[in-house]
Amino acid sequence: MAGSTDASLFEKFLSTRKILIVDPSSSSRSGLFRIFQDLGAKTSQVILCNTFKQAEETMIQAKPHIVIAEYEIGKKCGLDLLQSQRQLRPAETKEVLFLVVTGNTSQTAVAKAAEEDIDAFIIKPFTLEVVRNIIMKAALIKIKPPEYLILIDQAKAFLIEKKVDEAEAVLKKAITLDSAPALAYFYLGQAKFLRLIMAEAKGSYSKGLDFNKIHYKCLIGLYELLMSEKNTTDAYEVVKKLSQYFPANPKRLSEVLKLAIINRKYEDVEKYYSIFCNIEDRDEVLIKYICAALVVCGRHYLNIKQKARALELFQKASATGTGRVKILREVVQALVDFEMNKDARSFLMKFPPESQSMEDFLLLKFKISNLESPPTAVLGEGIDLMKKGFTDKQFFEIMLMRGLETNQKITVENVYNEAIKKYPDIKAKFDEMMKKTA
Amino acid sequence: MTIKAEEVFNPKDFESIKLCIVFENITTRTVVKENDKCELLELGDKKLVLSVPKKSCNKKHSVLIKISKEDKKISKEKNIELFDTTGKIIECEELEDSLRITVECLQFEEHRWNQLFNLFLSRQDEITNFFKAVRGY
Repeated sequence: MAGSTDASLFEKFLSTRKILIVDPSSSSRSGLFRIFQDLGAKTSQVILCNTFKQAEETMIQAKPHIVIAEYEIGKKCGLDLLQSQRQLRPAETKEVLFLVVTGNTSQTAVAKAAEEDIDAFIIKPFTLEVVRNIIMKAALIKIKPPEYLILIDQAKAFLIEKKVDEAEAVLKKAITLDSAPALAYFYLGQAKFLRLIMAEAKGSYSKGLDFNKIHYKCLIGLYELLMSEKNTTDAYEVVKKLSQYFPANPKRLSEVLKLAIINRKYEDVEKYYSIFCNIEDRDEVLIKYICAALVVCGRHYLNIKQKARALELFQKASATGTGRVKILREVVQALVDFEMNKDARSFLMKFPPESQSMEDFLLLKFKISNLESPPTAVLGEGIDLMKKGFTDKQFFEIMLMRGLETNQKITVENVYNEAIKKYPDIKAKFDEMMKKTA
Repeated sequence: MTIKAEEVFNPKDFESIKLCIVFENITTRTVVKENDKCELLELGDKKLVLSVPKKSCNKKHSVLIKISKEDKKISKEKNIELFDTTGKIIECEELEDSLRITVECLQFEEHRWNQLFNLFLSRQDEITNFFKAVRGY
């Protein structure tokens, strides 16, 4: 009986809704179109798009109520359509049913979609039965939400109006209506946060996580609260879980890497590297962060004299950041600092040919020469670099040291003058070097 | 009730299920081997809905379809065989860039069909459960 009521409710819902189907594959579009026809939608209600741009324009003009998008639309992601929708029509987004139908079944795609809070994720190939059930269930949550969700919506509205007492009362009732009321506990945590009772807010988020270890909002709430308290140790434990379940978020992975370094969890960085390797769509930010973390980690292992492990991490960083000069520069600089000239030289050779006449490359080459060539040769190379204006702090230190060692007063004087001109803030350091040798 | 992370999250799921499809038109004796040209779209009652290149087949043609799964861990060239069938094209819709065909499966191993069916059905269930857990409703 309930089933037939739901079906008629759904049919009624569908009869007045505009449906947008976005898929680059004409066969897929055609299949989804047929499904909606089977479900009771009229041809005139359904709009088909094959490009992201077309879909974005249609969303502005036609304001669809149901959006079904492929995850991969050319170079764009179907989820970006939801973000456009949120920006353009924030108030109406809650009412829009947003579904992803895709052949990309990776956890990365699934987690990304789950973070975006879409209504359903359907994988291709599908059966008509499965699609029908999923669409219907997603729609029914909007048409006929359970009492639990109605109360949560009420509480959310109270919280927006800063009516915290009323919100708490509603949430306490909601908690009794669900067997795993993590969402209600999340909003209760928000209420406590508004009251600035941090311990209780933390307690609510934790309670929510007791019921549901993977509840996204509770994990985020707890993480943000701990970060606001500058409790980086506990925050790290929470964000570690978040990045495990939702690995594709570059911002989060960068946060987890930063916290791993702060908390000296260097072994964990290697684990995140494994997660990173399994991510199919890595963006530039993510690559930058993972490489930087590998280099910092490598430096740590050099500090504790685990050279082989450090070199392994540097290899990973240079392979991941192929052609990225900044990463190579950091690796070579670390090896120079630990006087591993042979390894430094082999990484230096990885610089792309077009960057081998650039400042970074030449300065590093000079620093390696300093570790293996006689002082006069080093000074000669250094003077050439100075003429080109390619200098840094360490360069001046080396030049002063070698100049003083070989008693080349004029060179030393020139270097000193250049050094204090470029780095007046560390003049005292240069003065100290001059004094020591004198 | 407690929802445990390991019940809804399996790190092994990080990799996509990538299918390789070899589509042989027995009637015209032609083969479409390029993986990106054939896509399995729907699974029906012993029926497969595929997107195939234009002019590769027509209604009532007999076909042989071999579906395998890419396994990066084994080798890029070596795939895990999932399902082979002979069949007849019972529907053929000509679209702007492809044909959308429905193939009635005729000769195949039942357990292989179930294997293919369950592979996607169980992944869909996992995803749906993951979404439910993440949202909390």
